[in-house]
Amino acid sequence: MAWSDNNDVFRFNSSYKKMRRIFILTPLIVLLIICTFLLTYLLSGKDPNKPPSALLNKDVPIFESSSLYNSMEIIKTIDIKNKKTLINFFASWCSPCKIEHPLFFEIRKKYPELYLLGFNHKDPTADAKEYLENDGNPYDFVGVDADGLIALEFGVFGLPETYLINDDGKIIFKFMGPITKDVLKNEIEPLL
Amino acid sequence: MSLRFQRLLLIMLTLVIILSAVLLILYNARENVSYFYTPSEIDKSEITINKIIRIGGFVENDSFNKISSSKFKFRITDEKASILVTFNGILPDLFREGQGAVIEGAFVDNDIFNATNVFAKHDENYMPASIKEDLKGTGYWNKKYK
Amino acid sequence: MSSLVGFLSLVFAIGINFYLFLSRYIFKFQKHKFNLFVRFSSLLTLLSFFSLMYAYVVSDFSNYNVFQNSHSNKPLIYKISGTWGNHEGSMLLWLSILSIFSFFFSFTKNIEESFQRLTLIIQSLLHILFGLFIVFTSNPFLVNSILVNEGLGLNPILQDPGLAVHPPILYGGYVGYSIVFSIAIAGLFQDRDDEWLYVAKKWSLISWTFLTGGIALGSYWAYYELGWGGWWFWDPVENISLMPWIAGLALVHSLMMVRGEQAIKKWIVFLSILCFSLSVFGTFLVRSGILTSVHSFAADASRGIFILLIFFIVTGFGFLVFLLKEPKKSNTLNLLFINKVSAIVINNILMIIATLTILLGTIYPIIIEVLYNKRISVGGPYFNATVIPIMIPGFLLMSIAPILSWQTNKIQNSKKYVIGFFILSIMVLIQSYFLDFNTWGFIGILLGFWIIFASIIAIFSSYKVKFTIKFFQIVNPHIAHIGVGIAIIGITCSSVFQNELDFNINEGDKFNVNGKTVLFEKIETTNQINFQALRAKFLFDIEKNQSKKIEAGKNYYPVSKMITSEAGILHQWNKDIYFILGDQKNDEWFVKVLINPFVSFIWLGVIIMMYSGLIAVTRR
Repeated sequence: MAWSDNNDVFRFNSSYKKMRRIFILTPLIVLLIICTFLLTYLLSGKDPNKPPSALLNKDVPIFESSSLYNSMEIIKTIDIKNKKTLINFFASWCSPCKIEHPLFFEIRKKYPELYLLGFNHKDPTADAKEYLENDGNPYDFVGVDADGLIALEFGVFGLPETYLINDDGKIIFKFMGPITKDVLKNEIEPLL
Repeated sequence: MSLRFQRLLLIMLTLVIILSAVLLILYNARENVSYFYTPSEIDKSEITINKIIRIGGFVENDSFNKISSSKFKFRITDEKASILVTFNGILPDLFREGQGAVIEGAFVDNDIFNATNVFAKHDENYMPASIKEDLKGTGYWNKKYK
Repeated sequence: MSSLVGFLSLVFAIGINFYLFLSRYIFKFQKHKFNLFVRFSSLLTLLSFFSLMYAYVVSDFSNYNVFQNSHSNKPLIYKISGTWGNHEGSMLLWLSILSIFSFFFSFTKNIEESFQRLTLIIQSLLHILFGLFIVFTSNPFLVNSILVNEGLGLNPILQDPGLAVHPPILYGGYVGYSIVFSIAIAGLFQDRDDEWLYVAKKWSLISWTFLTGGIALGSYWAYYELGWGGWWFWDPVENISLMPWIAGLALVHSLMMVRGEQAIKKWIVFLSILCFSLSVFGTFLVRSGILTSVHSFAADASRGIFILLIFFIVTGFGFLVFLLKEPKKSNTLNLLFINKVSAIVINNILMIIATLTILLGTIYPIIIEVLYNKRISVGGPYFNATVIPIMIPGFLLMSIAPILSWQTNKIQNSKKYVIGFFILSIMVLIQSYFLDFNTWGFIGILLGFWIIFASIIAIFSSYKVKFTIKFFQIVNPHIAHIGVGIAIIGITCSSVFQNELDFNINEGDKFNVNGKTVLFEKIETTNQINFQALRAKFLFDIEKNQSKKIEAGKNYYPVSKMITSEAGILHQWNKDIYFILGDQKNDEWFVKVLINPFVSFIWLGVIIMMYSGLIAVTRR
């Protein structure tokens, strides 16, 4: 015990000395165990706060939207039914979107066959164009969702939100908030 | 009193205290720990009535029902299963349909879960979609890009 | 601009600390110069902090952190408190307080020069670790990539005067233990005399007083802001502040033994390391988002791993030095059964076990999830049923401990105490029989009164009452214990004898609370600068001429679209009447009324404890 400082009585008792060592080592061992558990927990990527997704494994909602650059060009649900698609809701006024933006270029480079569909949410056309001009346009198609009806169909709560659709037209992944490298690596890539 | 005896006594005393603490912990860990489930993890055939548990999920859209000013009924869902919840009291400020919530309570029969506590979650960095209108409304939102 | 200044001075401060750290091996300094460098790096860190604060005050939204967490409509005080109301800013605050402690420590006079230098070098090491953490994972000086004219607002639940000052005070406690840690480690390397123990005592008292204040403010905030009618929920975030507090209390008591002749150095060093480790651990748990807590914080795994690393380095380093460099043998520990030393030893054992119990309960869900992939939550009942029984023998002991002697087995006036205890027990028993008898209530009230009573007898029978500073210093331990007694009574009454009443009422209705008639006057909405307020107005005790007004309601913050509850509390010396406004159906409102007896005693007790902490600092 750490508080029993006096050695006089047990000076020659080697087994006692050994015991003392063990006692002093205890904090270190406890520390190691606690850290191991915490690290395992952190690395397992569990998030106690994350609610399960509402639309998972459901069909893509029906939508119809025109292109940002050409209002005659229309995209419909049927157009993405049999190709893997990543849908991203963004807006020029949304600062978290700006953060995740460069990642879509990475995705595009790494998975050229993946269809990138961006929905511009409640944004004046000019602002949206300016935004994509400055930051670049990673999307295969930019759909306009000026009144937010498409977002409503998808159950978008806030911007940005990202959905992954498989080639059966089912939503297999949904992410609320800006995606990060970790999310991309650990959650999206395994599904691709 | 010899030092050896004193030391022995001290160690004995410590051991007794530690032992009783361990017993207390073991006993209470069995009694006072509540398990956390999502609605689909709950096996309807194996519900223990009145056992306190926690359930986490979404508040199902259009399920919220105000019976009186203090009695509420809603469903908690994870899209695979959903559970009917009754609650008597004051809901947290962040409680909303479509939002994540954790409820604590017990099943009163096989279909109805009576919540004693409701916790709602909100992420401080996440931006609600309707925020833009509010910012516009106050006239402060003029943006320019670099 | 201010972002640039802040970032550069932060990096520069870290650089100086590298320099100081290496100075032990490479560059040699004169004492004078060394201390100057320490102070200079402290001032730079503070400059960095104040430039962030400046960015908040002038609403400089080109700073990304300010943009995310502030809004130009916010009152000035919340702009200032917004500085530390977010992860990045609060870590910078942590570092600044660390610097402030180093700054003041560099002025300590009565300590060997090489010892002081060693302590400051360890402080530098901590500064480097946390500084790098800020620079690499939570930089508050990032520049906003888009130009905006308005920010996204501070979490409205944090817009509260109590919570605004809560983090700096709490961190004063957490970070204060860093200096105790550094002193203890330095003491292991350089154990020439006992002088460093007195210095450690002073600093650990200061930290403990801060920590007490911080915890009390936090729970007072939870009491009136969360609107749940309680002030302590055994929430993980609360637990992790309680652990260093109890360990710190054990440390303060062990350091008392230095005044008697036996210094139990090794134990003191162990506790010093433990206190700071628990503080860093607390930061880790809160900032990693590992805990499911009712107080919500942003989670980020990479930050979590970084702080876990810091925690591991600091604690591992501490205990490793502890293992390799045992303090030299000090005097014999003489346990004469009923003397002060054995009382303090037992008190220490109890406190450490209580700390470990809380620690176990707090991380138990994590362990279970890793092992069995099952989620559990350990709530209040577990902690109540384990921690309280462990603490009770300690409370019994503390009532008489201050009058025990350091050397002999005698208690002065022991008869008085025995008789007093019996009379008190019977009185409390009779009293609690008439109120419905409750075992915990009985034990708590008896303990509380007994501690107060015994301390008062001890003061009057052992010392001559004089109103001098010296007298207050001598009776200080008794005063502290009276504070604890008062707090115990408050805690017991408010939790055991709490009374809850629910009403469904319309405007203009009258209802009965505790024998008094209350009128539900009306519902009113008003527009404030940054929120809309909905208030239900009540008139309490309308039969009397001086009826009291109570307002309970909700605030709506349009910027962040959040609603917060505002409880209406009528404070009386012997009870709080706590109104919470619930939901509405048609014209009917739900109102919950809680009667919390003797809550004010808790705050009074805490204030007395803090007062004693401060007085103890002045005493050698």
